[in-house]
Amino acid sequence: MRGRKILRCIFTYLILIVVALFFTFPFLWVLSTSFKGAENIFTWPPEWIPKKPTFENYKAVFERIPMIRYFLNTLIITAIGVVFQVVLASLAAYPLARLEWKGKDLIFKLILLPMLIPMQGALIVNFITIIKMGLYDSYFGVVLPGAVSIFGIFLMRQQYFSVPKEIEDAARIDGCNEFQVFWKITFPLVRPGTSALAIFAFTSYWNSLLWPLVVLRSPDKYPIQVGLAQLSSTFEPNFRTASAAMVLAMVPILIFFYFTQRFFIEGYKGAVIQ
Amino acid sequence: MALSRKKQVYLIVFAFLIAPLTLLAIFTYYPIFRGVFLSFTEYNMLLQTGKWVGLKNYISLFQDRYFYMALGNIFKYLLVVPFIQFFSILLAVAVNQRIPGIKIFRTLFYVPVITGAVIVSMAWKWIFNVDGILNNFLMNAGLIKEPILWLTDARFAIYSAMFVTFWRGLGYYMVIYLAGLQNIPSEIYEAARIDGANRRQTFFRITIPLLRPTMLFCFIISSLAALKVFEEIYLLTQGGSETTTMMYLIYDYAFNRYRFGISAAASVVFSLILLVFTVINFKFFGIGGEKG
Repeated sequence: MRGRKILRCIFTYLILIVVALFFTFPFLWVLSTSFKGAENIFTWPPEWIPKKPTFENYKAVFERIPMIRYFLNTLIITAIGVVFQVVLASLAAYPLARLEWKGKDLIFKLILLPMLIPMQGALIVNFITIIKMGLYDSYFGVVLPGAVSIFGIFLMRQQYFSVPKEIEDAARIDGCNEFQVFWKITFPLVRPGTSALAIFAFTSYWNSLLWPLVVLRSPDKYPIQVGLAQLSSTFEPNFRTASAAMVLAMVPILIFFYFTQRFFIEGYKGAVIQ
Repeated sequence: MALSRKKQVYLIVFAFLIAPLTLLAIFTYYPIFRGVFLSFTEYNMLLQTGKWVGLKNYISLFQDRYFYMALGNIFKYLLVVPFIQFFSILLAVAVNQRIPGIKIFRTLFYVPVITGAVIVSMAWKWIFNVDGILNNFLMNAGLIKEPILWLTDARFAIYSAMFVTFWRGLGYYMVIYLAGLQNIPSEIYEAARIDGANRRQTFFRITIPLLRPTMLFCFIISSLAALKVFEEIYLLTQGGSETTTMMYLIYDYAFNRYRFGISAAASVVFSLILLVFTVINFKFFGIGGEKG
């Protein structure tokens, strides 16, 4: 019985390791390529550990590509985007979840409507709108159309529902006005929800491609994803430099995810109701 | 001085909702109407005005063979959905165990999601390269005689893109399923164990039925995502080798060829397709608006 259990355990880990390799080998190959020198990178069997590892490719990244600029741009866009999404969703969800007022259901349905009715026309129309607003080729032009996240409102509304009514009522009896009830009682209690939303917003802005590609013209405003996508077409033959750039682009998001991963699962727990 | 409770409530409702609703109005509701109008005009980017041309854009669209190719491809792309669902449920069950080091595996499986389409597609582009790892491996294993043009041969290109979508999506749905699994109360499993149910029985009689709402949610979002695929196409093939999709076509018309009117017409047609699809989804799976 005990022997079977150990065998089973080994078997489980074996499968997990195989699957993990399936998910990571392209990245491992990129990592290995980024340290390779002049030797042929397309040899067989593939050379996973470079014979003469070199940092030349990384040096080349900083010399040839405005990598630091790209990082900075991504940080600016992501920071503005996260603040917008979290603040607006936290605000919008509160009256929809906890206050009684006329037209509440109608407004909530109206907000959810775009989830049901697909609007692909938004890409072109928003492009024209952003130009008319004078926001073309600006960070705000990138951020604004996605500033209200319907998923975020939905997620926050679920979070507000979980706050017990009694706590709010106690605050009211103690003389808090309605705004104080929100700011001092309810809002601090939905912290896990706001954290989850901040993380979702972070990854979606950090990884967005299509919209920034359309709305930015100056390469010195490009976020890292757009920069890399351009790189892939201009530096096509230069796998080594591009690999090094990819590794550099991956590191921050991986570190970020490692420390925040429990929020991802928590966030979806709230969002997908049974 | 102090406002009545009722007035306070309405003040909050107004103050909290005004900004989000205004932004939604500008960037979400307005484009519906403007987009339809735009599709009947020839839009001049420099003058920022449109000239009414009636159905001309639609007629050109229906005469474009790439339009039919894009339609065919987005429906072909739906093939990805059942594979993603099946394997992400398996993955979620696998990482829902309480064993040492499981957090590391969860992280590793999620890496393709977190790194985003650009890096993932670039990495796969090199694997699919004529003299890339994949061809090298297959040739050395004696499975093929000459290299396959995974991304430039029209017979393979769309499937290569689909594979990348599949590979990139698994971790994402795994996490949603994991959340669904963790929402199932452990008492139910304990009760089943006391009643003598084995692993297989618990899986099919408890896990799967209780996971149904999550499965429906994932099914809908992954099929809409498949129909709307853009990034993999843009990054892997630039719409070449017969891989164009509706989103790529819309992008290409507008931002490579500056034909906003026909791009808008394609958007309208595409939105109608998605709408039909969403309605079918909701009818079949009986999901109410609140659970969307």
